[in-house]
Amino acid sequence: MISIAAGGFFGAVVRYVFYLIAESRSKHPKWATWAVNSLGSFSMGWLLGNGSPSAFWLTGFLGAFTTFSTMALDAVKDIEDGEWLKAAAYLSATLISGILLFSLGYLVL
Amino acid sequence: MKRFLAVGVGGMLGALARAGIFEAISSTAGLWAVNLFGSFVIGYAAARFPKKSAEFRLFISTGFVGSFTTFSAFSAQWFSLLEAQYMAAIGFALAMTAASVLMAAGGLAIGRQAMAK
Repeated sequence: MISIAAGGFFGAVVRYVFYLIAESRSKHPKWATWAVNSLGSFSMGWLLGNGSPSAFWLTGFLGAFTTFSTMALDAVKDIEDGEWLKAAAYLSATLISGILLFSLGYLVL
Repeated sequence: MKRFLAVGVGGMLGALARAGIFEAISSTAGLWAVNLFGSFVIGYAAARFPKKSAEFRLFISTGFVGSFTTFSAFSAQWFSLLEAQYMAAIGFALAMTAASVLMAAGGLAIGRQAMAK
């Protein structure tokens, strides 16, 4: 329980740092969410494929580092702006890189 | 510093709540529950709390709900479905994504309605 709490604390803070960097350097900060979800999926695959990972990393850190709600809200904002294609591209890119990187981490490395 | 703390404490509570729900109703059903409910809340919060302090919004949206919902476990579940049944796996991924987007849109709409009153 303490390990999940500690992992959740750090996972969320590191995700926030990604947002801050993206907001200061990019015109498209929502790709920070794509980056954390991709990186988090890869790490999840790698951890699950290489023994039994701890609750700190699995449920705590990676669970909190990656996020589904922000991705959904980002897509809704694009749709409200009439950018359907952008929303579809963003969601597809996240789903596809998530599963590919998970597989890479799980099967290959 | 206060902002990092707001995100961290929110993230800690979000992770604990998610773990509690997975424990209570299974990780398969739990994933649907946290991602759909969390998507609704983030939409609602975006509409409802624009005038609250940055720390409060970071605590709720980036911290708590960001951590409560999760993508890594989603990729893991999708992967294990792919090994069993190809089409069901793709259907699962598309359904959860579409449902979350709808929930976020619903939260946003209801939050705006509450603001208008």
